[in-house]
Amino acid sequence: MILDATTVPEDSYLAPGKLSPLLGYGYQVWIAKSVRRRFSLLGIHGQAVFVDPATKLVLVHTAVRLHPEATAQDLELVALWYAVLAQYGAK
Amino acid sequence: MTRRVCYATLLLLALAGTARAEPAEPMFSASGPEAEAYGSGEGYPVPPPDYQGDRLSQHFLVGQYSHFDLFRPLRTVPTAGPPSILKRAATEIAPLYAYGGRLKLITDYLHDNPATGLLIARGDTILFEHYQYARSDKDRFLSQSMAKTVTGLLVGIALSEGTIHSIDDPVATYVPELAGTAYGSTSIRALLQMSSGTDYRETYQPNDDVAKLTRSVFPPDGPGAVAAIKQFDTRAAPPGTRFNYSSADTEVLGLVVSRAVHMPLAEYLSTRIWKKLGAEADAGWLADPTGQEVAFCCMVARLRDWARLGLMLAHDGEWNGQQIVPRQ
Repeated sequence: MILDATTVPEDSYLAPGKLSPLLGYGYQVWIAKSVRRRFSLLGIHGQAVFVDPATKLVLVHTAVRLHPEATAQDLELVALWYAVLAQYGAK
Repeated sequence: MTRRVCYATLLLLALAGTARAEPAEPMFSASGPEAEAYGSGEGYPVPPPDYQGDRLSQHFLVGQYSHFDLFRPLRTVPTAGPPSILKRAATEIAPLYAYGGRLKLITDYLHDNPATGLLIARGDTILFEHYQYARSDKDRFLSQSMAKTVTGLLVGIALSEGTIHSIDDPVATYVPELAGTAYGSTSIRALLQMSSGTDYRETYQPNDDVAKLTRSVFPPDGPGAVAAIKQFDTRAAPPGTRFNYSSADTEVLGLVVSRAVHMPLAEYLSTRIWKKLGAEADAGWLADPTGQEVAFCCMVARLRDWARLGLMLAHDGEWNGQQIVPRQ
């Protein structure tokens, strides 16, 4: 169930790149544009749980951003997450 | 070449950062960006339940997002037994990232961004755990739409237990009150994919459809979930053809699950996920005046319990010695 929920065929209207530049959508979960399966739980004002099954890295972020929806602050959080994956992905 | 140099620099700085770092114990700060405007002078206040002004003004955000149970009583999602073990790295990590044309450390991130909590874990080990705005590891943080994924997991478990027979069943099979409505004939799969096709707009502007939805399920005298959903009875597209992020779609999934399993979502979450996860504290979930949990938002949990949920998902559903959510 988790694999189905977090995977979307490339040609689907729900695929990352089609739905939005960086995100696609599975079963009530956001799917990252990535060569490997990676996904996130997201809530307004900056709530996020990022999950990378390949490395078993998880980032939890609770926040009180003033804007409910995506802002530049999302890009900074994603930049941090990518850095964590790059620098701490190997055991 | 430039990129290669940049990575080399990153690595060196990251190593330098590691050498200076503290053990990966939880770190607490009484402050945070714009702490004064977030109400630090008054201990980050929570508005009283009958407050008529803007509950989501900056002044109340920290208080409300960490003490949501003071706004409305929440239904308890009990945990049980000893918490599952999270190890701690000997030193906390010090990732370095590029943003806004400069290199920044994770501590710069916290200095510049209004995070109440930030936790990074790998496998079963906490690598970094910080709190700001005087929040702590005992506070329970509001999910907002992260609860949607939890509702989605409960759909998956109900399917595996056979109480939901097929992901392609229409909603009315489980929620007869919605028979004859646009939602009643929509499949569970279309709802899971935010593709119900109903005419619904979630813009987070005043008087958008999520405001209409919350006005039915939040107030103590609101009519509740079924009546809330019946407000959205116009079909704009066939189900399963168009993505439209909709809290109403998730609210309907919540109705489907609770009817299919014959128990409140809080109880189903407790028995199927929360206790098995070895959560260290009870979670909470807002229920509407009809007793239906607000499935699209409004769960609360400690930061480390959100991490346990994330780690369980990172392990394809297996955590604390058991398969909690089916992998396939």
